[in-house]
Amino acid sequence: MGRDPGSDPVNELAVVRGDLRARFGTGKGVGVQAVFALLVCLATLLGLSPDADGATPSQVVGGVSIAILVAAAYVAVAISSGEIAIPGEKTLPDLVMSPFSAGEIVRGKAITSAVFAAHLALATWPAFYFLNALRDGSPWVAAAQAGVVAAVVWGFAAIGTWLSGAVEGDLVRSLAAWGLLAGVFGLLPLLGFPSFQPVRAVHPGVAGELRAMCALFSTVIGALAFWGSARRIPYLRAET
Amino acid sequence: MQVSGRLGWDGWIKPGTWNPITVTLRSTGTLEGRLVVDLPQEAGRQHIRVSRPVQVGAGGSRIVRFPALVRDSRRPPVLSLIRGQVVVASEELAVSPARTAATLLAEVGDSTGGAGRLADPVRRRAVAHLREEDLPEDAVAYASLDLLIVTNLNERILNEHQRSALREWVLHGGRVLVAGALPDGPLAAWLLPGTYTGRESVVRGVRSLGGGEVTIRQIQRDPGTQPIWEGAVLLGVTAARGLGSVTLWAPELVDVPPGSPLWRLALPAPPQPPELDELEVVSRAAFGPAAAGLLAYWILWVAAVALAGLGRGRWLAIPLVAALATAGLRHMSQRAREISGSPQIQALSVVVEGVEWTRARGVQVSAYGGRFIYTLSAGSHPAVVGGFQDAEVEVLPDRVRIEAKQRAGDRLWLWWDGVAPRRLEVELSADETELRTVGPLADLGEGTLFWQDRMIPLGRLQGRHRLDTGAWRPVEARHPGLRTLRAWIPQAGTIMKNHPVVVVEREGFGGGWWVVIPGRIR
Repeated sequence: MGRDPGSDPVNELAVVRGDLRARFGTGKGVGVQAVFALLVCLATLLGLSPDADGATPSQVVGGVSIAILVAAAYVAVAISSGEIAIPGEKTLPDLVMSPFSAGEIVRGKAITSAVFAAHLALATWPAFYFLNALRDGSPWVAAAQAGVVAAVVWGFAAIGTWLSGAVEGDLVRSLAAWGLLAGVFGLLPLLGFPSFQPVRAVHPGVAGELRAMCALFSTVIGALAFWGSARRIPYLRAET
Repeated sequence: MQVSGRLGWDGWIKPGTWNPITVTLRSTGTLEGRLVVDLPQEAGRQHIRVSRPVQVGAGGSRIVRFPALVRDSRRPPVLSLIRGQVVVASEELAVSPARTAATLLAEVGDSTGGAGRLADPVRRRAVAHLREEDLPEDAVAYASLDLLIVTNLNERILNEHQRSALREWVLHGGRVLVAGALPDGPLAAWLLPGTYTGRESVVRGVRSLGGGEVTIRQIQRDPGTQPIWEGAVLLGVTAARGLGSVTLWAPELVDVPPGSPLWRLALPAPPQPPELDELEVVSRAAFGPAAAGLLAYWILWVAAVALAGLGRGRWLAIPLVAALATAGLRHMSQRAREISGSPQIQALSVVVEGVEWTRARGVQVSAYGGRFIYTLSAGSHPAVVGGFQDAEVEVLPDRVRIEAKQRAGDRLWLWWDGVAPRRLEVELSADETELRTVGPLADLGEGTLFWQDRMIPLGRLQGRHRLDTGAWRPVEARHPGLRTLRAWIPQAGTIMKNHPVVVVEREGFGGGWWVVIPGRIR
């Protein structure tokens, strides 16, 4: 996904602007975010439940953090894969016909995903902060949790982008997105793959190294997915 | 820098209650630091630290007196002087397990006065010998003392706090026996129920004095006092002082044998522990306020997202809302912790002649783990018991701050005693048709008057109540205020026989805090 000769950052920003305008400037885009924020607030409210006797760190905060992470990951993968179609947002197949190069398109998508991941993490930060402060926890833990959300959401957005180009049928793409969520959040903890466990990394009581590993893996997987998307565009162009 | 401390009454302590600690500080330079007492707990892992600010001028010395709750002589408190974070001096306030008592008498004055004969190892009754300097500055420290015997007391040596503490203790049930010199002074004038005339007489065959020939002093007794006669011989005078009593003896202490009825009159009944009801407590979560706060956050967030889509530069609304929400939710988390950490309180404040003594306990089950802060009024002496990891009590000039580290579900008990001035008086007219209340009544709710096995509801306390003579009815034993009074003060029945007693709820504590005002007949 290196910068190809002759590529123009203005074109990358055009992709970014178009996506963000759709997500923030349309009723559906704002509506999706409103539903996400509502889920975050409801999960936070559940986080007020008393902890089990002697539980340190709180299992309640752990559960709520996982719920928030799953919701954020779903929003990211659903929007970027086109499962939730935001009017005006161009998916990978839509951009195939544009004059932009594959690198420009994918770099634009990567920037969009990064901005949106940071945005969703910012939405979850007050909730993490509140739940940790309620249990006399450190704000740094809340910041680290929000950091995990940002990294994981970016990775999921990248995979969603790749899915939009790689999987043609809407139903199959939706199934793939849901399968991805189920695999990462349901299957991985069962398999015990220790270095990439978003479910564990977002827990308030986990060691910092595990969070860093998870964030690193998410970033690497995201980069690979965007690289795969860039490789996919010439095929899509050839098909059209 | 020198620090030395003494625990208890002449080395004697009564475990499980407040005992005095006297600390002497000497410094060559100016000293500003904290005096810290570490109280090891039975569980071993728990740790309570009580600290208070202290200042000593250059080349000066200072005596600091305060009460400490000592549970077990095998785990003595450790006294430290800390400047900044540095421990300047430290000393263990050790007490021999052999010097713990169930009944504790203290004699001030001449140690050859004869009170020492009352010591009884079988009954675990001990007699401590004190000097004026040993008397506490806080009435709460007297809680471990059953009888103060005075054979010689120069009140000019006492400071104002020591005089007040002695008076406050007596007003709230303390017993003093005077059998010797008590030079003139305001404390003596208030305390003594009579005076020695200076004349002496020789009596024979008085059984209370062993039946032999004994020289006794003649007493001029004050009006309203109770004489103690044997035949035609006036052996003493006793008088009530608030809820306590003072007795003046005619014979010397050495002339009263240990088995004399005079001692039986002077010695208090065996102490009874308070019989308190179980306090029901559940951990609470502040769902209501949190829901309101989160709804506000949600509305602001959606508005910020919508605003961000309207044009360049408006995206700044998003981080602004995040920052605002963080500040608001931080405040809310503190509020939610306060709600979840607020203890269920059972307390009794007895107000006698302008002195309020509060005995209280609170229990809290934390919904969440972490550090919880409790604040009590100045002059309170708290003890922390139950589920916590460590606790720090900071005695500040305007309040007492307790910080306890708890795990979720830990059940923490706070016990505290506090003495403070409060002007609250009650007068019942002799014909029982009018009750007058003097003092601030703003924090008091509905009251009931109890007087000699009868009671009459008063409603909300006002300055003056007209009493309907037909409204009196027999005392209801189930009255919550009366139950609280009886639970904390075993001699409540005697108090209600001797005084019209107003029992009134203190507002804001859900019926858990009662104020008792023993009054007088006008």
